[in-house]
Amino acid sequence: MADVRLEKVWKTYGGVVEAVRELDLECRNKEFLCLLGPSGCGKSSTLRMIAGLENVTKGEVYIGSRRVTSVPPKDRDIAMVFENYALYPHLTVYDNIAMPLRVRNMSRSEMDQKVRHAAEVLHITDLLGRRVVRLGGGQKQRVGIGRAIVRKPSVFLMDEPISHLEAQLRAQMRVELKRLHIEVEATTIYVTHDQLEAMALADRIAVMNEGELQQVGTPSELFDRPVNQFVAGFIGTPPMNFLACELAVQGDQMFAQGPGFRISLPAATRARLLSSKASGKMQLGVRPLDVTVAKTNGAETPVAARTFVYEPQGESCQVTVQIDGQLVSIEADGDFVTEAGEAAWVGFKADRLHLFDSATGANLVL
Amino acid sequence: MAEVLLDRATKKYGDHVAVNEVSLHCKDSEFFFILGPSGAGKTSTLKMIAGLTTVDGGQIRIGDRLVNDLEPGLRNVAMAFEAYALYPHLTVFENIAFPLRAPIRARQFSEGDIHARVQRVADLLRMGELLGRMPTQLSGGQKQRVALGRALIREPDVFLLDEPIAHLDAKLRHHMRAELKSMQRQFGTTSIYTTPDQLEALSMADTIAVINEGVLHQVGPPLEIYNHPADDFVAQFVGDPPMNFLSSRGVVVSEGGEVRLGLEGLHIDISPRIQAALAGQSCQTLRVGIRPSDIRLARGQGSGGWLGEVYLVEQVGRSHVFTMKVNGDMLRVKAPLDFDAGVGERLRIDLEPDKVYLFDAVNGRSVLV
Repeated sequence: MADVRLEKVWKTYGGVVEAVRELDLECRNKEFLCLLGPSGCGKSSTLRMIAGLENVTKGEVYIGSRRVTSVPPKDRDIAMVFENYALYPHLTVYDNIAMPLRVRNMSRSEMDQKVRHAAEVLHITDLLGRRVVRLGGGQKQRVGIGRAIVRKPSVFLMDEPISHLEAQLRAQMRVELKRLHIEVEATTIYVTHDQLEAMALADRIAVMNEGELQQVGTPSELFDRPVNQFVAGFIGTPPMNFLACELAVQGDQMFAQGPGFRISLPAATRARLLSSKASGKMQLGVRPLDVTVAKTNGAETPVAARTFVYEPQGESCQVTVQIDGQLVSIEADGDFVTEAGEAAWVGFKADRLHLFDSATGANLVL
Repeated sequence: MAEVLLDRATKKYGDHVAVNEVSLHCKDSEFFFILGPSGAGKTSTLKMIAGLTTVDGGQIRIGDRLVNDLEPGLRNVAMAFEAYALYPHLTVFENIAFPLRAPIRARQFSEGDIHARVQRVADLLRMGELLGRMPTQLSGGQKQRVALGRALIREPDVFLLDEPIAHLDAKLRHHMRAELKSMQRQFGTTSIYTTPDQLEALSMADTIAVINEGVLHQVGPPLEIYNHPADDFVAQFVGDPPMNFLSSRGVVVSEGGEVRLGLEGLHIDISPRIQAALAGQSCQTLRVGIRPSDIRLARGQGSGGWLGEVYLVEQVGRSHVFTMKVNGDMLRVKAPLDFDAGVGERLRIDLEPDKVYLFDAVNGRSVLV
């Protein structure tokens, strides 16, 4: 068991491409940390530097109290699980899991006990005698993880281990992986591009983009308190709405206004904007969950709009409206029914609004 | 404009029956969805309508014409695939105009005509300002719209879309769903769309046909499919997280004129509506399904509820999805984010008496519809 620390870590390829730029990151002991970002953001390079599979261009990597920046991978006490499981197809599940133990010259009974324990945790005891070629995708992935578990590493590193599985199996494996982490209590760093997966699995998530760390926080922090427009737009589905706006002051009131809307900002938001002297062009950010829609004008729904598309989804529905030509998506209860072309009235939940600086993308209301 | 009728349409590949006597009625200007997992027979069905594969049994009609043996080019259908296959050396304008310049339509359209038509389609697709660009300068969603434009410009009677947005990332798919639904309304062209994604079908369709292993399971509007699934396949395929099924089987118990649901080790209250449906049942054993959003979790003792142990908690947007261990089953439960509980905690599980789905354990048919 150990924590993992990266101090001012850089990775450049060919001296030109900066894959990772001055990354400071800590994964605490026993924590499940997800590295999340779009392809090319530097998350896999980061993981591979922790594993020792890539050289660190500049900076230091620590596992526990040990500096491992130049330590070869096999001496770092880590186990890595990839999307392609690299199993021995003609060996049994048992022999695949036992492989790392055989190299250690462990006694037969001790090895047997460890293999069976791993199989039990992964619910594959009844597959132990089966050859790998005869397994399905999810089963193979479990074997790959089993082989990592028996080594009792200080740190688990996983690179998109389930992203190629089909949706329902992926959801099931997500549950198993998180449950496994609870039972094994190993420090885990997990790379994914899928924000839903990161939200469901992680204790904390580190969001990266273009080689730079954007924000580290719990799923709720990232969802409700994104530091910038990139994080706000990347986390959450359906994605956050963004509307161009400007600030207007009238008496002791402050408004965010844009084409077709004018929203009174709550006192706390107003105070923060005044103290930071925020001004100029901004993007109003609001999640589809935080927009209210109704058929009539009211205090909660003062903004005139028109339904562009109505999408029923069972227990909820998705309404896309046009406010002066701009599209805004809304998540509403399943019993709200409307159709394209109908008048709609919308309101934004004022305490859930974000304002992003149009130039820097920074969240001005945090 | 046309309706499309399939009457016991069948497609075989050797011994394998890909589409087994499927009958469908897609009405004029309807947005009709064929939903099913991979290998269900969706694409084979679409290809039979397009004329890209032979029909091995039954009939296919477009409008009032029997088209079983009609060449694809004479059916006046347009098909858009997931792979957009744009001409990389032509501008967006020329890609969209391409079908109008095809040899079989030689000199049918003047340059003025072509410009007017391309402009109209491009405006509807909201890409009027992209007409001068080359395909390499477009995003995935924009390329998809060009491909749609090229299909639409022919003004087909029927528009066939084979998983057109399946490869786009989640965010773009969300936008394209709304775009496509809106476009279909504006064009009013009869459209048949295949997808393995239940959310896409619920969101966009006028009517959904659910198929699996070549067999039609149910046809109906989205909310009917969701609220009144005809069988256990439809029930578990539509809805996310998927419906829970209990491993213990239910039986119908009649006592002194009162009907209730008997279940090994557990008790479920059922509403008068479900009681009435069960009263006339001859079915011996029942499979019991409950949607994750129809279960409430609570602390402390209550009457009638079950007890379960928290196996796992996941955050999904601003909701929690609990996996609960109950009587040997794993049940998924959707709860608000402010309801939190730790792994291992014991919680009470309450069900809604009117939100229990019951299926014949032998043939899977719903006993409630």
